Amino acid sequence: MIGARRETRYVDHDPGREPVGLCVMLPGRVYPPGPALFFTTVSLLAHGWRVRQVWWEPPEVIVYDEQDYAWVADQLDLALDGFDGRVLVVAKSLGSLAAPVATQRAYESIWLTPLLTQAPIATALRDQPAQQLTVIGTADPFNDPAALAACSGATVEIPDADHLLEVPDGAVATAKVHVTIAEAVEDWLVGS
Amino acid sequence: MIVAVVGLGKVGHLYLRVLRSAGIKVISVDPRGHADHRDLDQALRRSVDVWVIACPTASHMPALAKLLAVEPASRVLVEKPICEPSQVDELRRLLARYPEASVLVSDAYSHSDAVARLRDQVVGSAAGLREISVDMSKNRTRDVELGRFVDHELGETAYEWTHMYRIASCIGGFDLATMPSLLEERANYRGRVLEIEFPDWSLRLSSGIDGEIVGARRPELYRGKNAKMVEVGSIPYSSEFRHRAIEVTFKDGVVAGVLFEPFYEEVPDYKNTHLYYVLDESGRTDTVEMRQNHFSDSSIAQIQSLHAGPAGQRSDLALTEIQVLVQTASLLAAAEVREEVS
Repeated sequence: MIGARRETRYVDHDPGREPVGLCVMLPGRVYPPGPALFFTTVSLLAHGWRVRQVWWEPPEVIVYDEQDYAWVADQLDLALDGFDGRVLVVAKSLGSLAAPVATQRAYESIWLTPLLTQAPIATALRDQPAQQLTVIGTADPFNDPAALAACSGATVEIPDADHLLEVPDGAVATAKVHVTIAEAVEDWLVGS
Repeated sequence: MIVAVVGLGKVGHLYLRVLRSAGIKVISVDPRGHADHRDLDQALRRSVDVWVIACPTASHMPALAKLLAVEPASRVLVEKPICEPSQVDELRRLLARYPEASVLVSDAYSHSDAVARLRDQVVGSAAGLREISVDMSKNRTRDVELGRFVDHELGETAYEWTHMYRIASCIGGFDLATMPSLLEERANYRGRVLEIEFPDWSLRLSSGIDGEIVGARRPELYRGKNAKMVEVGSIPYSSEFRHRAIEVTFKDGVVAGVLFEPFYEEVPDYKNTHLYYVLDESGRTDTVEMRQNHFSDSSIAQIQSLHAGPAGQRSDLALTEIQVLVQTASLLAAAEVREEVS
């Protein structure tokens, strides 16, 4: 098994009050809790969520077959550790391989740069019965406009943003992108 | 047609040059600043017809996986070897996951006129084969010191052995898929020559990386300093001369062979000047100079096949080749241990 020889650790954040539920935050392959996930964590804590950030060592080669989907789903289950209350999944990129299981279990979800070119993910985001927010850039090679349009819930498409949510105009423009994302997350949390 | 070359090392630049010379529009991808795009994510926004993966071997699979994740029907030419032995499982899964993807492994001699001529001679021979010998030697000491062409899993086997097996398979007319069992049952590595016994003929493969030439040698057919190097069987440190010789011996005593670049630095277009020769029973030698850039012709032919051919084209032998290289590396390593012990 891929996961057996790789180490996963968690960084837990407590909201300082009775949590409304548990958020499991799944990172990308080369995107540990970076800026988009950091600001999302800040918002989630303010809204009373307990946040478990997953730091993983994914396989170097991601094939996106059943084995990889199962590995990510296992990571989600291991992070949940049997928790049976309200669950929110926040995932960036590779973490979006948890989409099929999130939809199956109707977990509320925030997807940052999900791999919409992958049919199981596009289908899961289309069929998600729970509250859902999807954020992706127009310059992200994993963006599929038709799949994005079909997503249930709220969607935000960032002009010119790539898979790292970076835009070509430099740091300030990229920071503004993250303000847009933080606002979208805040609005979604207020409405959900 | 637009071709994207991923990885601008020595081979990547070679692709760039030959494809542009052929009038094909090429874009390049490399994290170093001199490419059109610094990463695949950027390049994937472009409309690309065929991808060429020419980055270091360990990076082939991550690059291929990324391409196929975004464009499942991508058409891709991958430099050899297609992956490292430890990545074979991922390769198998990847090819199964994306059946519509076309993935070929580069074969620089697939359209070599000289190899085809030798094959025709074998096919037309009434006497039948006695032996095929292929030697590809170079002094790679400096390359290794500079960290170039270093393969941490396959070692020296990663350099020329794919070419030698494919050439031998083409000329000898045997299925490369049978090679794993042949290596298991009928191979010996001694005196730095890998000998494989077929029922009525034998195959001898050798590849020196320290400049020693151990395969068939015909110094009289070389020119200038090259003749001397071949005669003494040693290529000096830092020389870029490569000894690449194929020789076929028939049962009636006739010998036919090909020398690639035998006039190294001795004639204007030495890189593309090769020599085909035949030694008859009486010892008379006939030679024919053959001019061809077989890397260019083979690369362009494979890329055009990817572009114009159906979806799902595959080098079926990609996985077998890795297995064969692993077996060869193991045979070579075992022989080294035996030599050290003795």
